[in-house]
Amino acid sequence: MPKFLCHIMIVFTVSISFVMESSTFARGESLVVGVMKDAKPGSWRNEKGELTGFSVDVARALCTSMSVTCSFNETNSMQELIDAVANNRVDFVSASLLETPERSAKMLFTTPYFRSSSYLIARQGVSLSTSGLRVVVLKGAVQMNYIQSRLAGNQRMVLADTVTVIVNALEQGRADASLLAMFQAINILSQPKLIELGFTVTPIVAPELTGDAKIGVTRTKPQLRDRLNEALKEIRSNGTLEKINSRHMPFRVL
Amino acid sequence: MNTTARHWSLKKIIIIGSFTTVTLAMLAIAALTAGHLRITRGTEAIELLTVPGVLETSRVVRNLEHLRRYGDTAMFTTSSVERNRVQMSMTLIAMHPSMQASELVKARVQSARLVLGQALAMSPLPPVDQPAREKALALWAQTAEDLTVLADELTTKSSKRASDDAHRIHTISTQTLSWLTFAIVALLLCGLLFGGFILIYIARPLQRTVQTLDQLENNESTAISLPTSPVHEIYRLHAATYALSAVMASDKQHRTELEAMLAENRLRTVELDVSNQALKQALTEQELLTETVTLQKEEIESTINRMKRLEGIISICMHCKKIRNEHESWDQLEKYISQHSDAMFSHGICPECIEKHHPKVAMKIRKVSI
Repeated sequence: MPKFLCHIMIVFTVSISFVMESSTFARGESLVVGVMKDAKPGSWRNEKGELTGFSVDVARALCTSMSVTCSFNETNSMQELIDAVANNRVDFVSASLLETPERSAKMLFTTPYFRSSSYLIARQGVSLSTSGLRVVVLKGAVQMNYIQSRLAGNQRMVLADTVTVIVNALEQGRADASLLAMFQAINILSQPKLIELGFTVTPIVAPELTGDAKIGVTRTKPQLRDRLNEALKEIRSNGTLEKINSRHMPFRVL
Repeated sequence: MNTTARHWSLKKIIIIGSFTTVTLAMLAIAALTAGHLRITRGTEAIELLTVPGVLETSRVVRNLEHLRRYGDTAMFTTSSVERNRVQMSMTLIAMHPSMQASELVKARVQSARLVLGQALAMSPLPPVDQPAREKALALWAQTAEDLTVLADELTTKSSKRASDDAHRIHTISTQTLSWLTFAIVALLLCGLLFGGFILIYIARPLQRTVQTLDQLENNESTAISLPTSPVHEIYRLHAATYALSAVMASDKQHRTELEAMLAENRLRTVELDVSNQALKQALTEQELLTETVTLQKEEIESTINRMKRLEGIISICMHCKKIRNEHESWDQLEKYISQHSDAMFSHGICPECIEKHHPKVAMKIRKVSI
């Protein structure tokens, strides 16, 4: 009889611990979200200094859906962002990330939450085959790998940490063109000087440049990826994602 | 009992009833399962295809509207920078994957971009040729209208698809409900019929049979009338009950007859006992009589024997009066008579002899007598 009572006590204690742990997990958990600094319209700081943008609002909506507290860790470049999630410094990253084999080795990916494509922002008459082309790309982005694999002998790739650096390079003539993801290309639309300079947008159709943008999750938390998928499903079905799209993008990107 | 009627065995009835019930239940379950599966599949299709499709169409329609707006802005703006910006925006929208999914949309959007390019080329900034500008505006207006019509078509198609899917689910639900209702009603009817059958043709006959058997057990004389049943076992039970009733009735009659015979027998036994007693008494008397007769006979025979010994001619001596016996010897008279009869002799003397042989004694006797 005492042994039986002992077993009941153990089961009871374990159950209570499990319930308490679950509720603690649900209520007290906090996550660190990695976003890129100065990457309008994905993540940027407005005039009041508040962090905002499509990726930031999506991350906030996901955290709300998961009932967790999220803090943001801004990185200076795409490469830094990827390293942060790969090294478990952030729990997940909300940026315009396409899934590639190299990235899959470093992080887990959720289901898609919008579709992205790539565009060449170039001076008029300039294309990827232009001799002596100087292309500026974001460090760590898939566009960097694409350009790297296609550069001719007299062409050159310039790496930049942020879109601001890219814009400056283009404006100042340090680069002739830039291959950018949709988010960064949209950012260019708000740069009057580049438009005045007659830069044009040309879509680059390539499988590795077009596809579904996903959220990258640290490999140490596979259960977080599942929860994020559920949260994505929820914000997609309840219209939150559409609202965020309307708030930050000039057209439907989902 | 109708012995020619067709009877069904209880086992067969139970098997048929169970089979029918199970079949209908299976039908209900199958209808429910099939309906559930079809509805689930349909719902999943709606969830996975229709709803995303509707949302996708909605996004495409929104982007088409953006395209038209950007086109309008490009046509009416007086700023070349703005025109350039708008054209870049249009390129971004037109090349977005959402606008590339459908060949129809892709072709129409590309066409719109080309037309806009032509229209913008016909209407350079600053404007120089008003008729050309008006022609360019008309050209774009037609294309813009085409984009709106395309958006309407997509919206209608999407709505129709959603409506068709919803209608399909409704049809499936209705069919499932119909089949399920049919199966349940059939199941209820079957249960009702089967229950009624059991009540009328099994339970009631059994109850009546039990009552009849109780009556038979209690020797209550009653006319048996059991309800008919197509169930073989009930039929056999009734037949057995009827037979038992007949046997018991016959047994009762035989018992009565036997009891009467026993009573008569007992009476006869009493009479026989009385007769036997009288016979025994008569026999005793007979025996007594026989014994008496025997004794008398023996006595008679003895008397006869005795009489026979003194019968016939007896030779007697003329002088001494001795008698010659059968051995040719001569015995004194007294001895001979004593041997041949039961007479005994006692010696005495008569008066004459006394006088003659004993005159003195005779004289004394006389003196005493005087």
